[in-house]
Amino acid sequence: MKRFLVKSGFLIGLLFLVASCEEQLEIDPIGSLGDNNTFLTVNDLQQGLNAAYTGVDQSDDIVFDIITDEVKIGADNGGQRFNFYNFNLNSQSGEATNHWTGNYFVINAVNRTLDGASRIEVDAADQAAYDNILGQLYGLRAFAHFNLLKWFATDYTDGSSLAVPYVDFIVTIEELPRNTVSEVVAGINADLAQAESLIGANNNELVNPDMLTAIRARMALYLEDFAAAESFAQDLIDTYPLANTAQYQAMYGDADNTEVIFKARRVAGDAPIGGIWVFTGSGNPFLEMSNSLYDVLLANAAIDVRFGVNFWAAASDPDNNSHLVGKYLGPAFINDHKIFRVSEMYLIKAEAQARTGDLPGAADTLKELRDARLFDGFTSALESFANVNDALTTILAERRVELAFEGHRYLDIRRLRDVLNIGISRAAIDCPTGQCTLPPDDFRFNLPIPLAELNANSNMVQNPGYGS
Amino acid sequence: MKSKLTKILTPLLVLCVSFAFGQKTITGNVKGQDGLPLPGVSVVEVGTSNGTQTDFDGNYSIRVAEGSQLRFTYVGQKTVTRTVGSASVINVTMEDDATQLSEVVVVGYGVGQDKTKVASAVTTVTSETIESRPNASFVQTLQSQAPGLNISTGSGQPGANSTILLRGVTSLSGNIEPLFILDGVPVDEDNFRSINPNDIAQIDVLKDGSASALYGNRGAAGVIVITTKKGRFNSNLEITYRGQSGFTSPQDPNFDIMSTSEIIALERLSGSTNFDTMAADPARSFLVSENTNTNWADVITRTGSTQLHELSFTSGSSNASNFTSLSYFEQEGITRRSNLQRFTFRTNFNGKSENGKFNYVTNLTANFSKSNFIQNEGQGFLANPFLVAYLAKPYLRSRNDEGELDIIGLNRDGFDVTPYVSLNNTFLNTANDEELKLIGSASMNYEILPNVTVGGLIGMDYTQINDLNITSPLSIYGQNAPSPDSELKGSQFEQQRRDFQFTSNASVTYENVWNDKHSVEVSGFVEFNQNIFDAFSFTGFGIDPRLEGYNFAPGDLREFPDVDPGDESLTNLQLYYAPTVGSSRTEVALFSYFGLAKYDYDNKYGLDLSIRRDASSRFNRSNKWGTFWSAAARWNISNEDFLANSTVVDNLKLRASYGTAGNDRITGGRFGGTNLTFNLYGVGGGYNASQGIFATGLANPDLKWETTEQYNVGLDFGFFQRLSGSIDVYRKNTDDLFFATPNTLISTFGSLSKNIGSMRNEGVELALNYKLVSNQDLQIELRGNAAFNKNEITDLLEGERIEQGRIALEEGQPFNSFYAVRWAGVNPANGLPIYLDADGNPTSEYNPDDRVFVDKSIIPELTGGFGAYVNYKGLSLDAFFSFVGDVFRYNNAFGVAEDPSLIGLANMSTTMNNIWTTPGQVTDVPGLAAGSTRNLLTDRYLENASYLRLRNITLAYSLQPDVLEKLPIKRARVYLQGENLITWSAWRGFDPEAGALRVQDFFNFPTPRILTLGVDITL
Repeated sequence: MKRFLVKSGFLIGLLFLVASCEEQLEIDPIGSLGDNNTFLTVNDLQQGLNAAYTGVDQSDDIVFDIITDEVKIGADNGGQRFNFYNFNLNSQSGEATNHWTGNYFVINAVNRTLDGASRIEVDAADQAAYDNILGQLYGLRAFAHFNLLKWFATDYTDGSSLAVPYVDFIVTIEELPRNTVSEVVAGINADLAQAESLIGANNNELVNPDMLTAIRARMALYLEDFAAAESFAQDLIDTYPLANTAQYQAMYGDADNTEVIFKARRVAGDAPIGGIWVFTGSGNPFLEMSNSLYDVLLANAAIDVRFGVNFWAAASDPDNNSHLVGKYLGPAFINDHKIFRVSEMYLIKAEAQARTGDLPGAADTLKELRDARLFDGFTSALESFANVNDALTTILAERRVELAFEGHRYLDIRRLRDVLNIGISRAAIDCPTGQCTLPPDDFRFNLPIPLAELNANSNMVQNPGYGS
Repeated sequence: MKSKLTKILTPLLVLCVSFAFGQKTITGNVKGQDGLPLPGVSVVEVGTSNGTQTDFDGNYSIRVAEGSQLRFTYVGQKTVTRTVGSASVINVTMEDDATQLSEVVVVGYGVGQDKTKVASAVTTVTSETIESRPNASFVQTLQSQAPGLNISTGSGQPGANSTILLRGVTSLSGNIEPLFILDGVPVDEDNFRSINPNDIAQIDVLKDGSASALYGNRGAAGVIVITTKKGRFNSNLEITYRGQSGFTSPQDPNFDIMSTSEIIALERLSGSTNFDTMAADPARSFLVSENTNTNWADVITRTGSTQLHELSFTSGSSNASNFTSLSYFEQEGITRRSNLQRFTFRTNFNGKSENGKFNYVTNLTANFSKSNFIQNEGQGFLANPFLVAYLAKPYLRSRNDEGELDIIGLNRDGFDVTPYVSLNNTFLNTANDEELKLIGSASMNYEILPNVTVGGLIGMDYTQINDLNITSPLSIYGQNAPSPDSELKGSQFEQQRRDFQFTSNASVTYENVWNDKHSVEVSGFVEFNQNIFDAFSFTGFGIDPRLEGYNFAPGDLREFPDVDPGDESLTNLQLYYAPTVGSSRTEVALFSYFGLAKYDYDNKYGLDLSIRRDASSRFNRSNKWGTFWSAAARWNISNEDFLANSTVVDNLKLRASYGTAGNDRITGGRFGGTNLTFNLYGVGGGYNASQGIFATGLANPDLKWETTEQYNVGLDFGFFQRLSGSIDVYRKNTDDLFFATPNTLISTFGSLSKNIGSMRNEGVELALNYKLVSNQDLQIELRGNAAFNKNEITDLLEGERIEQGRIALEEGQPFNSFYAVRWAGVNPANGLPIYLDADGNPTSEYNPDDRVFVDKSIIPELTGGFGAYVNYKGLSLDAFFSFVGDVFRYNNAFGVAEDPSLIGLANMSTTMNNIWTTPGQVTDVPGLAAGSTRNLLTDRYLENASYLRLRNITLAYSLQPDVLEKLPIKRARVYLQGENLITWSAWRGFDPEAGALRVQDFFNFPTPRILTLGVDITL
């Protein structure tokens, strides 16, 4: 009997050893939410929106200033952006891929949150907050699609040309083909209309009604609907004053919002825009302002606030060809992304006026902007344009100064290259590597669809010039 | 088994026989080869259950029948049989049986198996090979010791992880390393720095499908079974001291960089006159001189020390035995800060019941180690000392005016002061970790019914690592932490990682023998394995240098940089010192049940079968279970009658096996890819310092086991008592390969893990051992092994090519083959590069579309080692070489040293003296106008990293018996050994060896040369 007990005890002990094991195999994810418990309340939707906003980013646009005449290789360059600077743009270039992934990140986050929103019940007390969240989501979706359009569409003015997939559902493994420009524009307009009907009176750090108008103005300019561009721009010009010189300087220290229609706020710990040019630890530059842009600014250095804003005098040594970018000198080189400012609206208006033949109007608009940039006691001369191209050339030059290092230059040249027969043209001193020009008809004015997308998506079509 | 049969039958025999002869008492004494009495020797009257054991002094007394036979058996000694004649005293001297221990092979679950009965491909490495080698991790010592086992170490950090491949790579993204079992417990295959190599008795490398199928759920990449030392029953206390002391030093680099005069000339030629600018700059000129010619490789490397002290104890009584060891080991790396200190403790206890029916074993090792690390190993940061060795300018001074090493420079970051940034970081900042590792198991088995044994085991591998990284406020890097604008400086990162692996299994075994010839063993098992990983970390900011490591600024400290008093507002507020924290937990579990069956006929034929079902928590309900099985057969030809008396053939065994095994580690790591069948959302930092909800995982509910099947045919042989060895041929097919397959970026998840393809490894392995001379005074032995393995992707996404930078995957190509534009030299006319287009025609245009497979892979096809051992009266010399053939890597570090666009920033290779300057000049270095080419996807820096290395050479003297007799010690040995003394390779760098998966070298930490003097003494 004793032996039996011992043996039984041993067997039972062994069973304990392995019992209750199989249920241990059902391990739910730890520290993660799933399909059924993510969006349950309006506050959850707000958090989905908070995530979508993180993809709203001007840096990816600003990076494309590197392959224009705004930038040269810096003193401490150890290869940073070196190939890109030399117009090495291909389907594996991170600079191009980031536009694709960054904007589809926003769209995906929006669509997931909208999907969650469609499945929750809203109390009357929460309805306004709920609507405002939805309005912002639609606004972000419109903005992200417009960004994709402006970077990847083959031809803005040909509605039937290929743009990008317009996406209003949660994409997982679907292999989507490219929509046409007209289809994407229709989608953007529908989203803007939805947003306008839902959105609240938010401040300029969130999607707000004026930002929606600013999107419309910029898009109309790109699509060459000049009447609409001028009208939308005028709406905002009527609402926002231009910053005076002190306000303008303060704006780049993120301390003034006089002319800021929408900015993506950045706080400590976020990625620094200044990191595009310098090692943010040391402040040593691997990219600098080009001599050609410096010379343009220097000509008005004494009277124009923009010389001091764009040029980091304290760290530069012009005698030794050292010209550091001064626009993004926030704490740890972190600055807000001032995506829509009213001065751009003046430039849109001026360009629209010029393109529609109102040359004196364009000159007036331009002078209004220029005068605001001059220190007290100075005014600019009123331009007298000989013809449309003369006006456009001058407006483009003004955009180069007013919107320097804000991610416009490359696309501005792309938009106007056929009209003005211009490409990218660097001063010899700015391109010791010999890569000084990008001719107007170069395929690289249109971004490549990322190779990773082509590899994964059999319905995707590459833009011309980048292989198949 | 036989003894069990006799146990049942002998009472009858005794009855019959005992009347036939008279009984008498025999006494005697049993001694060992060394002349010392052997206690606990089993003395049995053959054919009966009558038996006794020798006492403490080796004496025995037994009453037996005249004319019967007495058999003396003792573990580790050759069995002696004596016929009882007229004498009543039988004294016996037993001989050591050195082979007996190593002939026991540990395959699969349970205890060792007689090697002649093993039907699968197994290579055994014994303690003799592992003991006393100065490598911190025993895995490094295993390199080239078993054919087909390819171990590569990509770092000179003492105790660094090695990549272990057994018969090639069997997965694209899943786990490729063998399962490691230590005393029955699965352990982390990536971390052995805390294990004392001298505790290991034996390592069995299980290579074929039959052996690894026993570990079905994780055996697809092979299994390595480690057995630690045990005490013997009935043995006297034995105390062994091992001591070792020596130094580590860098291996000779196989490249040259420019001297001061050369680089200044090149700078002037190129127009980026860094030297002239610095010399003319009053703020910097004191650092440079045309008369300085610093060899920075010498400055950043050092001769480090290494030492080991170890005490071990073994003893045993009739029912209990113990092995206990304590050791201290320390080793310094060949560059500053790199080191390892380790304290280890092990105790192994074996116990049994009087009748031997109940056995239990406990093994426990508790270890503590601490390592300091270099900064940015293998990365292109200025803090990486091995970047300094290539790129720092020789015209910079290494010592300041006081003659001390200059660790300040200009007290700032920048390429012009490269070496100082690194030295400053090395001296002033901290990167270390402390590791507590416990591995323990308890197992028992009980013969509960005749021929039926039940058993069980629980075991765990527990590792806790505390990481500490401090950026000192006094260092150059500290100036920017947390922010250049903050008043207080410095940061401290601390992390606690806890890895707990738990295993339990239970088994029932039935074994029996019929007619003395048919032996059968059948067993069933249930097993459960659970892994839990926890991590917690924080980073604090603002360090008071007087309290470094223990103090940081309060997180709510407010600062208003660049703000005039009175202007403080929320907009200007900076919370620089808010600490960041992190926390995570991961769990994985496996559950299995399986059965094994073994059949043997008269030690001539054998058949092993296994089948198992495994479930993994990584897959969803419908794909959780995988079924794996194996079959193996052997024919011990040398046991056939026609060879029984052969003087030519000692051993001849033919083996054949087939088996399948699985892999559930989808992304490779033990804790990777645990949630891939779920859609996941996580919370994280949202816009404007808010909380956001992000989609973090896209589900693939269809994921299932990756499976490997393997065929193996092998022959073990031994001839003339001199030549022995084995040859194996195998083919392995892996199906349903895991791979993070490209997915539309529009989903925001650019890849999705799927089971997408198939791969094949096939190869031949040969191991040979030849005793050239073998007599009392002189032994000369030659040994060698070689393995050839060919890998091919046989199916991948319907012929699609997956490009991953310099390498690509495609059907028909080996794993990770280089895919590059072919570099065809320099055009003498203009100094620009010439490439070959896809069709092989020369072109001056670089076009990534011209990439082709260049028939080179990162995985070697040929691996092996060979050596010789000479022993003359205790003075021995043992030399062992290892080799790796047909392996390629991209030498990007050398590419940097030939990059003309970096001439102002970095020192250059002396090959740049051949830079093209004049039309018509024939050279292989393009002119300045060519610009940087190293980042292009060409094969310009794709180099053959094959090597032959004198891995270890040991000169030793063992005290001889005549001397030992006069001393109170049993054994003593002194030795001098060198590790990695000589390497032959075309690779242009510090070290051709690299972790097996490394595609390109970028200022990596080379493995050291180690010289030690050691002594082993046993009391």
